[in-house]
Amino acid sequence: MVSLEQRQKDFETEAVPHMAALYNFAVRLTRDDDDAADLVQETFLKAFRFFDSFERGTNCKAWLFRILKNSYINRYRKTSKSPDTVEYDAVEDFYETVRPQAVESTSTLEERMFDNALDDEVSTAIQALPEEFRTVIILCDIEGFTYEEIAEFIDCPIGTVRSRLHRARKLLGAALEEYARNRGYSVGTGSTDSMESPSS
Amino acid sequence: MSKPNTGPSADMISAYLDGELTASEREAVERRMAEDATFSAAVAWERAVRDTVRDRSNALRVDVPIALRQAIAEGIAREMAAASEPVAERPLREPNKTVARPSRLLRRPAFAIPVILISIVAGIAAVWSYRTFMATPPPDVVTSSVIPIDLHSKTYENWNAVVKGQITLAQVTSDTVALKEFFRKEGVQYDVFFPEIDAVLQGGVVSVDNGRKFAHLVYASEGHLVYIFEVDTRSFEDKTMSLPLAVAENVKQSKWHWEERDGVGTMFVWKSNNVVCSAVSDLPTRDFSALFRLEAL
Repeated sequence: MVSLEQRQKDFETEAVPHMAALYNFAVRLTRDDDDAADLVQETFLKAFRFFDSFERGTNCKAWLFRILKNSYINRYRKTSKSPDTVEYDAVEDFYETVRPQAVESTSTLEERMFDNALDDEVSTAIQALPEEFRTVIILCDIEGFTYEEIAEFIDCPIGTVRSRLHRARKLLGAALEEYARNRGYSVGTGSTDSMESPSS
Repeated sequence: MSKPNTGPSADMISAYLDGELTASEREAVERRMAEDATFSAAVAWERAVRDTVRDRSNALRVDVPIALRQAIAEGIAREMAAASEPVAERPLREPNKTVARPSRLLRRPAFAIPVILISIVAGIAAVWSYRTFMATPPPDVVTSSVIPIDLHSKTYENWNAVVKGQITLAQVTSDTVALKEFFRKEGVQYDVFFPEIDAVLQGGVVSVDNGRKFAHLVYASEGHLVYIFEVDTRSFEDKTMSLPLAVAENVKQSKWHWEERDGVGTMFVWKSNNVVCSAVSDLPTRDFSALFRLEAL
């Protein structure tokens, strides 16, 4: 067993650099700065206490996120602050509502429209996503996790990660289109709604 | 005429964009993109959404609050201290106890109502006490002695006197600059240490012991008092002051000494530069320790 001092040194080298990633994820997960701070504090203290059990050289960031997830479940799933979950059908209904038309599109139009999206709009759109979609977007597009790591984090098969990310991006894109419309953009986009079910 | 929906599903678009498909799956997606303009447009659209988030990933980040970094550093320091202290002297604390944030606690009715009641009572008591302070001449906290004074027991003794109103503040102020000046004028010959603490400084008083003058501070936090007796290290060297061996050993090694007494509260002894601070509060250890920014001691 390593000495306390060595454990602290290793912890500062391997775990502490991920504090910002964990805090950002926690803020978006809990939607509350204080709750996020509590969650991250609890995560780091647990991690420090059990740092001996962390296998050096493996993915410390993923290990910390697992601890955070378990803490989050223990802390919030038992309370009235239980996070929101939505059924797939509900998401599809929402998607249909905000994107009623399936029309031809050009990628340049979309890119230009999304390029003009404000940081706040993107942030708000992500925050507005239901938890299960918000989680995969953050882990994949902001934190750079692989699908395998995300699958482990959300305890789902990789196929679920694929479909959840696809749906999350559809929801997010729809919200960004809405912002673009409000800013005067004329939006005409393609839709994959007619292609959801493969025939093979 | 649109093509039938054969081949890869739309669910594979994300995986395609993220490089998470097998070679054969990727080829299937690209084949469909070439054959199906709608599918190809959908891929472009999703790519634009994905890139929008990724391009802004840095801008979307928020900084970790300094208070959180401090709280984690303090928590780890407590873990370290707990692991290195003898079991008998280990403070009773909950490692997962979060640093008290009144703003959050006050949102909870079960906490807020008692706090409001305590605050009202404390406010009335404070007004009464301040009148007493102003009417009472500053007394000596302890009497002179020719033998070393035990800082440990004297702190408890003074704490009881503070609680009973037998020791009053000679200088009532929360201004540390003014209080430093007061101590200097009163003849305290060392730099009085003001810890970073989540409590309001009430004021100070000076005692004379074996011909030496010492500073005493009182803080208040949500109806609880914190009393601190400060002594310069020179006073231990010349035997003006003493400490029990176990406490002295901790102080000598720059370790924190925590102890909790039933019916009294918690004592916390530490050394900051050349000053030994002995603090007592009626709070349990975990709450008392949460008041301090320990890493700044």
